[in-house]
Amino acid sequence: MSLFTIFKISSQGMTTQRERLEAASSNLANANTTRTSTGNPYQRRDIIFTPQNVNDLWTENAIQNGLFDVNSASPQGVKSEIVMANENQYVLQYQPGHPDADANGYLKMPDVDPLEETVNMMSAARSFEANATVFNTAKELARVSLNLADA
Amino acid sequence: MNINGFNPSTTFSQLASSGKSAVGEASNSADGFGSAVKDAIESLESTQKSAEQEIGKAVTGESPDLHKTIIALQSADLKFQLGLQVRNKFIGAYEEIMRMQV
Repeated sequence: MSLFTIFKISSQGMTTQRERLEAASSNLANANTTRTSTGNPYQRRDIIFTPQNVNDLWTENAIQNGLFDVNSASPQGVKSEIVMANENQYVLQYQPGHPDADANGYLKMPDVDPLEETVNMMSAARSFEANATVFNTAKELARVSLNLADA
Repeated sequence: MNINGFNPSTTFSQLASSGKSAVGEASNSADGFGSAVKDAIESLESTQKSAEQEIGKAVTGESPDLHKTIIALQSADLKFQLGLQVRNKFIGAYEEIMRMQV
């Protein structure tokens, strides 16, 4: 574990938060999309996070030299995946004049809650900032370490 | 009259052997330092190359993550600073030795 590993982890954290923001922007942009290529209304995008190993060169060498156990609670990076919400999740709205309305005049609208997406967006932005702060802290510590060399 | 505790031949042979081993260790450690510097410079070069690649990706729009580029740049800068400090120390020690009166 070095400061450069922290760079990598916080970089991955920022990437996942960007993807989360992407999902939110996609959902907000398509909040009124009633016709996709499959004929169904737009399906809400969701994001799931999974941990991932961040073995840098130093960690690999340390493991090879038996400095620490591979199964120990080593720090983990993060990766994310954008998934589609369940099929056939939609909100019925009565709009008889709409071209995509069914015989009874009901229109299938995407199951997107603008309020929820806005909160997701704010949360993603704050998490991104938190990861950036971690990066800056690690960077400052590296600079402090380098300044130890000054006389 | 006996003079005890003075055996020139063994003392000199011990000195010679210990001196030899000391020289051997010194050359070993010099080798270690040399290869360490070489490794450090090589890793510095690869870091700077990856930073360059990240800049290229950002400019061509291939990489969606701006922060990755900046982080690669910062990593390259920090590693370069580390190399610079090591070099400064090394040159300082060299100059100190050159200033010695023989």
